Amino acid sequence: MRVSCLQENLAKGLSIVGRAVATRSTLPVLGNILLEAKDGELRLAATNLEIGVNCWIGAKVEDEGAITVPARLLAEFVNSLPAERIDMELAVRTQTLHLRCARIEANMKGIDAADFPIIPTAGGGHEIEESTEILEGTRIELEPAGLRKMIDQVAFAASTDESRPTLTGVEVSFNPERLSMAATDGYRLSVRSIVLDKASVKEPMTVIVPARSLGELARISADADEERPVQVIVTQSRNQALFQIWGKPEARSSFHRVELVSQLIDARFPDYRAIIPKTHTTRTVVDTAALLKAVRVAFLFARDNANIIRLAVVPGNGEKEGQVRLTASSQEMGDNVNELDALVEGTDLEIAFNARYLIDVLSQIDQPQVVIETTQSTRPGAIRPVGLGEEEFLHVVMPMHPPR
Amino acid sequence: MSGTQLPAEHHPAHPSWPVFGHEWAVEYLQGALEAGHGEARRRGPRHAYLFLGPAQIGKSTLVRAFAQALLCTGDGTRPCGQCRSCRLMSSGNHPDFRLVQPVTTGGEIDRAGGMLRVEQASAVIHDAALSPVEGRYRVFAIQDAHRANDSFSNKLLKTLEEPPEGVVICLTAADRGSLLPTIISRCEVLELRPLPVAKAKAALAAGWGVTAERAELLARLCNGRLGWAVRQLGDEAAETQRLDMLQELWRLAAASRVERLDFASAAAAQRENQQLFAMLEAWGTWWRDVFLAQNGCLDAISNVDQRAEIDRQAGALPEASVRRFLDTLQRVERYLHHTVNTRLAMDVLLLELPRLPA
Repeated sequence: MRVSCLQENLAKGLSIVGRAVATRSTLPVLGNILLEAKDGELRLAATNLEIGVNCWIGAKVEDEGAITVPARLLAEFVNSLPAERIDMELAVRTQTLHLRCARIEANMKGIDAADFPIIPTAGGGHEIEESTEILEGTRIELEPAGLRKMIDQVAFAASTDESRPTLTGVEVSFNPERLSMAATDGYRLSVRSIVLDKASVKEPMTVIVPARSLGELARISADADEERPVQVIVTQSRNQALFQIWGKPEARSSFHRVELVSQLIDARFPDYRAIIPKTHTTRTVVDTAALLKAVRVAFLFARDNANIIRLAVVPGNGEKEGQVRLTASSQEMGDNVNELDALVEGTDLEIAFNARYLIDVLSQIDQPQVVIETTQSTRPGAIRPVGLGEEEFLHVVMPMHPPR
Repeated sequence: MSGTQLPAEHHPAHPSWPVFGHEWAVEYLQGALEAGHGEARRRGPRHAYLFLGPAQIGKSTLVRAFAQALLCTGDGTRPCGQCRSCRLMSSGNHPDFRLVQPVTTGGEIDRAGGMLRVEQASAVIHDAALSPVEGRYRVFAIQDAHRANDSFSNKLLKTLEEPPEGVVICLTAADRGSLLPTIISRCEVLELRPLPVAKAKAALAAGWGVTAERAELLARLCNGRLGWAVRQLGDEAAETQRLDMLQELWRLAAASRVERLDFASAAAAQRENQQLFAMLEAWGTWWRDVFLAQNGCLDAISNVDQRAEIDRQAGALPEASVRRFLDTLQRVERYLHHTVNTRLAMDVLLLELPRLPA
């Protein structure tokens, strides 16, 4: 293998695949990154068997070939190089990769590329050989920015507790006209759905994608070409989903394309529709930014007291406007009161929420106003942005029951 | 144990399994493998197996071979030894094979003093939920299940009872007694038996090219544990160490009480536990040989290279004292696995040592 590429591109590629490298594994090869020079591109690949990432960057290939080298060493080395051309050459007999950039040279001992697990690909026009596996399945195209926003609005609600693996995932349902995502950790629920403009889905399909994989996808797609759709391939038989993201048009590109393959969670997602409140007795419309700011201030006092903040909602009467009073207090720190003007319909109510959860959801809402729908202090509250359709975005959060 | 992995060209137990001996187990597992292919009314491999047998008898070698056969993607007899999966398996890089070994609190692998800990059980459960990367199965080899702490075992129970599809869990352990009954009842148990001397000898000659004389000696000394013999082969100092140990034993047998107690205190204070047990094992083999010689079974002895000395000691010592010492040795060895004062136990042992006329 003999290949050269630019330091910025290699560093970017390594940071993309680096997140999939297994940190603690019994398999030494999983701690490595695969470098494969072929067809005028350099492929970087890493996997922890749960997520696999392939990233193709532009390179000048003189001799084709492949090797795996320790991920941390390579990434830290490349990051400390000047922004110039890097030449790499593989000594096949010793499986050692020689790198040269400006006046710096290095040799890295690698592991044979044949020992690296096969990461399936979507197939990009290159010929197929023994070590590639093309993933077959339902193909869907999505717009990168919309997808990213959806992930941001849903994935944070997923659980991080490994003892309930199903809840660490996001339920993704494809219908002929809609795509919806839902995640819950048992205390809050986030549901987002968008209209699919092209009828690319023939049959409804529901899968659970690990929230971590979607988070990775959102992170990678931030550098994507917004004009080209993200290809999604789902194979239920292999229990995998593949996301193909295209890099920015040639001149400014740091990568050509990235493919992220994620294992799916093979389980039934709980029926969250049952916990969405059907009715409400109090409906509060409030300015999103003002509420977020008030919650952040209250959080300073609440964080020592289980993040509890109380919302007292008072409806307006003829001459006075409706109000939301936020209070937070802790024995050691003191207390804080914040009043906001609001449009309140229905009865007055006092309810306590986890400040962290409110911050999480409010910071993902772009619309200027939100609606909070509540019934009693012991029943979940529903939060939705004003201006989006009923079905578009809904967040349900369980109240807290602080001691009186 | 992993040292007993064979070069691929030798397949004595089954045409393609890289395992010596344990023919019945290989045949049984091969049957399960073939049943998994096609015929619906016969069952494929079970979800969990428990391999029992003394250390270095070949449990893990068998587990690896079984995993290789399960994961093999070749046509015809599996394992084929040629396909990508078999190559990954022999280089130790197969993503669908996961070895779980006892570790210290710091996470370092330590089979002698470590334990299987609850974090490892969580990792197994997590990995078992993922579908196989390359093949049709995901194989977990949990080594030394007798070194599992209770929370490891309990955490694993649910997965062990009903693992996700395609998951095969293989446990190895020294004996049933040290496992939770709930673990045993969830596994198909295969108890491996020691290799007969003739088979061990043939295996050493065929697989490692050992000369007939040395193969005979090792086959007899290893007590049917091929892994032990193979480790001796790899360790150049092992042979001189054994002779030193025997000479020390002869010296002690002729020595005074004071010298013996001196040795006991040195042995109790300095030696690593493992070395102590290795020494006791060598002693046991030696006195067993002397006892056999006294009863006219000189042909059955293990230390075949020391025939003359065995004969001499057999003549010089009363049979009753040798037998009594063998009893004591067994008892002390058993006690030493639990909490006894090593020094006192060694004192008792050394005082019981048969006395050779100087």
